[in-house]
Amino acid sequence: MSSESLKAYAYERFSEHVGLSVGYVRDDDPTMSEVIENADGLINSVDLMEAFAKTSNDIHAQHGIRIQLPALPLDTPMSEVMRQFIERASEKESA
Amino acid sequence: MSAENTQQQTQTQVFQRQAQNDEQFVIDRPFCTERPSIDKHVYRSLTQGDKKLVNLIWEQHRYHEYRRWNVMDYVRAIDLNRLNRLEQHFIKNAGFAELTTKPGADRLTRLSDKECRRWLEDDENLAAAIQACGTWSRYWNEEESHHEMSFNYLSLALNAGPAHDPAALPPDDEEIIEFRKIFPDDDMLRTLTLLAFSEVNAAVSYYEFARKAEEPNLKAMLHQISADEVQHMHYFVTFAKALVDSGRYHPKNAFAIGHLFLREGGELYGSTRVSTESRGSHVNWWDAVDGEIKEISVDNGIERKEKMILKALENITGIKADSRQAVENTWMDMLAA
Repeated sequence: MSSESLKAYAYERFSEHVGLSVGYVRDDDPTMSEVIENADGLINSVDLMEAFAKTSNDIHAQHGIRIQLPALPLDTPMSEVMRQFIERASEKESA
Repeated sequence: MSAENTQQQTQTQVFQRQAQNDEQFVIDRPFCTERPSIDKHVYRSLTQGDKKLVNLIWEQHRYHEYRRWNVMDYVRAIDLNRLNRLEQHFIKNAGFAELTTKPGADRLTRLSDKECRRWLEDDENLAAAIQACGTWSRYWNEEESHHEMSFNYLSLALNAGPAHDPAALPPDDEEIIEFRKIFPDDDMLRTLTLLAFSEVNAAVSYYEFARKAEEPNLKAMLHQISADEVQHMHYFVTFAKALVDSGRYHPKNAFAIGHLFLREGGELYGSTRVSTESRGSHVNWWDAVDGEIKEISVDNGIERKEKMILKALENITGIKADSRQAVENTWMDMLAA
């Protein structure tokens, strides 16, 4: 699977877990803090961490790769978070 | 009198007080025949034992009085002129950190009452366990005030004399108001687990610095405060365990906090992390420790902290995870289930 299609899948699953549209999360490129603010079911960064973990579980179930996000400050934009997320996936894949 | 003699005298006073306490607290009266302690199975005591809420809070009160100590005993004994630069910086940082416990305890009081009333109809024993937690928060608040005022008084006193380090100033009004910001509400199990781990962090940091400190009575005071923090950790664990034991709170939320602390660059690493969180809502003391003084980094005792956090997590959930990787794996599996 190419890293672009993996990224698209990750955006799709993550957006569903936080209850926001893929368009907003990908195209508006909000910070993690803005995601928490705009997602109804999210109280704080622990909920966000859980949404990433669920996305990681989805990737694991679909592609057999288990990845975990590094700890990033809440003012990090989603594009950077996803870049690191996919980078870790690629590392795992090549390992 | 030498500093060593003074320390010996202070410790002797502590031992005498403990002996008096045993005499005073173990008496031939109902519910007083044993030394006071923390009930480690609150929910079971309420559902299967013969304890009611009033028994739990009576025991809390006995234990609070049994373990009390006097701030003046220590600040009188500490030789201000002997405090070195590192000790002065530690005192300053600890004073700032302790400012955040009052808003933490105020939040716990409010959250406990809200949660207690939420369960009143469906599970009266759980409601009682949570009310016991809210009631205990008054002792937590008061005990933490001893820590806060011990440190901030020392900073204030140092600042009034010639021997102080100009960088180790007591908090000004603006700083106190900033550090008093009330914490936002969260899930109760996550909150209690986070507070348990925060107490581990504090207890080990005080213990580790007590080993470095040279002024003997400061050393003794740090051991005393560290012991208080361990006691608080046990209370948070027991209340968090009550939530899990009730079956109404999923252990995944305790594991989420375990992962939040133990993961690479997690909360356990406090101000030593490459980037700490800038929170408009409140101040986390572990983010605010003065990182310039490497010797007082919260990174000290990291292995001991990890070990205690893993044990606390096991006591809360009944699920053993013996490494940070195991915590992450267990949590991820719980989310997938």
